[in-house]
Amino acid sequence: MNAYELELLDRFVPPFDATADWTDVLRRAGADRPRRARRALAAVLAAAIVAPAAAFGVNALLERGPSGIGLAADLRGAFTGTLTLDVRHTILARRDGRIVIHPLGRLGEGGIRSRPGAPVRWSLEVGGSQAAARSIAVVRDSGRRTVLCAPCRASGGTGRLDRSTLAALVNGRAAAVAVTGAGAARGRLMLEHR
Amino acid sequence: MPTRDRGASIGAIESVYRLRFDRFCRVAAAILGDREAARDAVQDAFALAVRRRSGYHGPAPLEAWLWRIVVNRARDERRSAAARVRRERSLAAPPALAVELDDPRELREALAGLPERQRLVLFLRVYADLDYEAIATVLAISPGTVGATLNAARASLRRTLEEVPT
Repeated sequence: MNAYELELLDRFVPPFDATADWTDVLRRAGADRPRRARRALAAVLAAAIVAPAAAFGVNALLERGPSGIGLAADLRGAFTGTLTLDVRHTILARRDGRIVIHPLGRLGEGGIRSRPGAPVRWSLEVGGSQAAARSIAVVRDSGRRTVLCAPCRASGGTGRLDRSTLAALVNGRAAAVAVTGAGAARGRLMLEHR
Repeated sequence: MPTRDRGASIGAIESVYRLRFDRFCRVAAAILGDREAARDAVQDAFALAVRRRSGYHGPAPLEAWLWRIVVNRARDERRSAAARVRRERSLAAPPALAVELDDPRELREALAGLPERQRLVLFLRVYADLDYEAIATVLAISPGTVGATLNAARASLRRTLEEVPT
């Protein structure tokens, strides 16, 4: 491997400027707290799910409990419409000025477990009525895309979004793109305060 | 690298993570063609390593065990992404995995044209700076195969690069 080849390879994948985030690794692993502390946290979260967060003085939004949080996008383009998303089994909290999302597993012997993603229910309206699309996708500002359906056989359905896409969603860093027979329309997905 | 008699300690895994983070990300990016997805894959891979740390028994170095997890996670993600891209063909927007890097098209095509094993061996040698034994451990092949694969990758790449105007 000569210097020229190495230089070209370096241009193929330049060094990363991102910093290592070990805390994020531990959070993903569910190992950022001792087991006893996790159980205590699970008890707090379980209580938080069934009662308003303010009652516990927790700095959390908890827009929805296990029933989910709502997002909507006003679609503009070849047609106008609305895409709504209902994300299930998650808890929202505010940290350092941004919203973090915690997809949750079932309550079990080990308490509530954080999960890598969450189920989502979606529904599309075009011109005020339910409509099917050729495809519907969630596109993060980074360009990463998650397809909810392609082709779509109905005006609504279910899918699953990973944690990073969910984080982009709740922080206003993702858009929805729907393609129908009329063409494509796009709109930013925003949290609904229902 | 300090490890327990059975399994690896979180501290040992963290040490390798902090020491080699950039290299892990670059190899994952070389596999995935997407820097953000690469970083995500590395984070996921190390989370998996933490959860499964009791499964490390040696005698291979801990770093090689971690490299295998990172490479496998990136390959899994690439397979998932490829499936997504196939489903997206009906979408009007450009494909999600478009490589955004400023690199010569000829090189990209040359690398993309390499068989997967050659590409992986090349990246692990160049970016991860792993020796033949470690690469063999990561990819579950023999050290001799590593050498032959690396030579084949270099020869193929060199043939293409010789045609690249400098």
